[in-house]
Amino acid sequence: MNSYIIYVSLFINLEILKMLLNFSLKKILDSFIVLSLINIFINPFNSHSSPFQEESMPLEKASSSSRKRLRDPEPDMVLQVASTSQGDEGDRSVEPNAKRIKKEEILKDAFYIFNVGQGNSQLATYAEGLEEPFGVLYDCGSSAQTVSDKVLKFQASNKKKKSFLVKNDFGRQLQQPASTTTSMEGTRDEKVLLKEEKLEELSNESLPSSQGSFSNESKLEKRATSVTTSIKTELEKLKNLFVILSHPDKDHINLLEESLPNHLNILFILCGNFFIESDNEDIRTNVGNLFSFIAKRKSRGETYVTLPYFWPSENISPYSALQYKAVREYVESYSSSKILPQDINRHISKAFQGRFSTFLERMLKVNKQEQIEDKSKEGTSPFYEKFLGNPQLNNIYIWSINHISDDINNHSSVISFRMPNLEKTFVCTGDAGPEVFQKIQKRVSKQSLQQTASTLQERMRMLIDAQLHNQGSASPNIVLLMLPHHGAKNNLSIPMLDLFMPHILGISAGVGSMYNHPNTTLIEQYKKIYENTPRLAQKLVEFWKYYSKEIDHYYITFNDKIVEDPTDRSKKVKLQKAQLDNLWVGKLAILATGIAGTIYADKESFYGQYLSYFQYGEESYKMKFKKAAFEHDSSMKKLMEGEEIQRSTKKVNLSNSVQKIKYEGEDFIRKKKNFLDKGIFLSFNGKQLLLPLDIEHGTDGKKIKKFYLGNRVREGESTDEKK
Amino acid sequence: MKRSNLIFIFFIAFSIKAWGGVLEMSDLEELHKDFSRILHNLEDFYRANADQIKVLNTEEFFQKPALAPSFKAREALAQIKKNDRTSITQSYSKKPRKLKKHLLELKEYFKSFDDNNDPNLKQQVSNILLYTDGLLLILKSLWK
Repeated sequence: MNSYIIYVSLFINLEILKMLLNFSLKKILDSFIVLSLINIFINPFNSHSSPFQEESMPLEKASSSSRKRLRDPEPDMVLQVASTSQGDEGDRSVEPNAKRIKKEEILKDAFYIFNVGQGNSQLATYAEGLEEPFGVLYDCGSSAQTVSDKVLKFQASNKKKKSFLVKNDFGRQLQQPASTTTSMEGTRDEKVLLKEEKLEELSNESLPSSQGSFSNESKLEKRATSVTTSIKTELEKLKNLFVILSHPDKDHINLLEESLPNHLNILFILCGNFFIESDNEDIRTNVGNLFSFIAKRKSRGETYVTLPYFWPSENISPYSALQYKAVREYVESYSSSKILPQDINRHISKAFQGRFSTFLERMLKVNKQEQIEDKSKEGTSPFYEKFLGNPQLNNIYIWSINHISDDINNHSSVISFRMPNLEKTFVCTGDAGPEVFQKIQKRVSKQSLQQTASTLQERMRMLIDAQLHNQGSASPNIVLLMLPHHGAKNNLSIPMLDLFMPHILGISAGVGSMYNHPNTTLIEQYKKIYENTPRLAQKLVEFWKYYSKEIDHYYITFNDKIVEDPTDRSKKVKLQKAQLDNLWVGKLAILATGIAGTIYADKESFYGQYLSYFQYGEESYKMKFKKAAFEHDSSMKKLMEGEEIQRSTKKVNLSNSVQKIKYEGEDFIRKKKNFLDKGIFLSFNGKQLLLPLDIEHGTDGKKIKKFYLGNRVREGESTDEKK
Repeated sequence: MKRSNLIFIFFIAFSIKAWGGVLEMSDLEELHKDFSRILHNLEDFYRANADQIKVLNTEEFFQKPALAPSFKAREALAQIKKNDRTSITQSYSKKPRKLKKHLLELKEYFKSFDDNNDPNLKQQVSNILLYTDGLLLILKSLWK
């Protein structure tokens, strides 16, 4: 394979030479790209290579080696690879490709917080120790995509994930080097010269494969919109899926059709009142589309649907009060102009709380003829029946479903996914408001009367922990709670913290959308509560005992206030500020999809899909958050209109009246489009932006403003951070 | 495949290569004096290569950098070279210049770092300097 590629590369090189003679620059560029891509594809054979390995080989030696390889006949090369891999099992770089691909395809338990922009979608995959794996998709919708399709598509195929938080390896002992102080004093830094200049040139010849592999999934992906690519990629690996839609809202349901592969057996669980009378045309259209999609799926994999909001009681056929035939007719003949069925009994006698397996058992009491299902499969048991005895189902617990409220957000189901193999539990909350958690608290309090512990709090704790943590395990599960409603303001819920006592919070929100989620004040409130509440502070100690920060995870929070328009006092304007935050060891850890993409958890780590993409208008910018371009300091001399800021300048006084600046020779103009009261600075050609973000400084809430440089990510343009 | 798509993939692939390494300290880390991430990544390297570091200590590799490493030290260095399981080796794959740059930046920053109020912080800084110096020597030997 390698020989073949090298021959092809040589051929292309000759072509380039020929073209050079013809001065055909266009063709040269094409060939250069093809050559580079070949390099990328070669690289998977050398993935995870140590920086001390290939590049440590002197250039001359490397070149001669390459020449030797070219002369080597094919069988020798195969033999070489085989013998090396036998000799060194630890070196994955020489592992046969097919074997490695097979290894990667082994499905493991995992949890995903998908980046769907301004929306919500999580997936729990239970696979380890199961003959037939299954997944539970909690929500799948978005009201605003906040990263460009091209970036999402590429990132979805990029298998190298960045681990923000890694589990501490208690098994490995740390060995310190003997102090080098004395000796280093005698060794000037200049003497620590590494002969890497030539090696750097060598390394530029090929790209690190581990960071640029192209999966088959990505090749198969043909859709123009790729916000769902990573969801679909993960679902392709499964056969059986439970889809739980927390409540009927666009940003929780509208991506299902393009996310669900055809082959899946699916049980749709539509929580909340999907037939709520609403003036919102969006909701009606999206619910209608959802029903049409479910009806269409009848001819594909097994498809079942249930609407637990309309379950009247445990022993009566769940659909009797719903008059299910009307719903079925509605589903089959839906069009946006049709009026919603009016004959639905909206009174629910009992809210359900309990294990997911119990929920499914209750489903089986439904008269099968009343279900939406594929008639060709009539007589066979629904696919989910075979999972009923499966202990993994007992790890899923429904805390709230069928909550009655005038606010549709409070219809959201609250569900926890205990994943023993990951030693983690994930709590999904949809858009549930504080009243939902108060209700859960009341129910748990009532149930705890049967427990034996002395105080009510202890009894409740025992009951809740039995669902969140593994029984008999020496260490507790790490509990990640998804903040409800994308971290929107006014969603502070102390009962929620009391109930689940999460170690870490997750947020699904699209930075750069009009909604400005998550809210800065809300995040600060949660941080303060954790600092000031001993039992929660203890959770942080517990978390940071088991986890360390490996790379930075940035997220942006927003604050807005309505003020009078200074130019027209009769009008109100929204002032908005954005703040940059990061994970801090010892503090409340928050993982947000906003600029970091899909968050993924396995046993060892919490990973991010990428690091820092920011959407402005229709464009995506790769931000360099590690080092700010410059800081605003009002004590400095005021910057003049159009004045240049040098790269070496760390602080400037950039007043709000300045509309044009120059940075590193590039002209920037202030833009106030969409958000941020003081706007952003965009380069004339739109290739770069300077994003002003507040930074928390010190413990007294003092904030400073820094400007961060971003490079546009677009077809044919480099996103090199070094710019 | 369209030419425009090829160009996009090409540039994105190169831009990925430009991602910062795990030993680059951020503004925010400096501002908050939170060096735990840097220390974790260095410790991760020394944990993963604990047996080899033990040998290097015995062979006085770190104390006598001017001398050529002994046979045993060379063997240990070769094993470190092979170990690709740490965050540092994965992050700086094929970027030795960047690794050196970040190590020297750390050294420069922490040498002049002065905060005697917090003994934990002082210990962290001292450890980072120790690990940074050690790693620079390892790098120097491997590139000889």
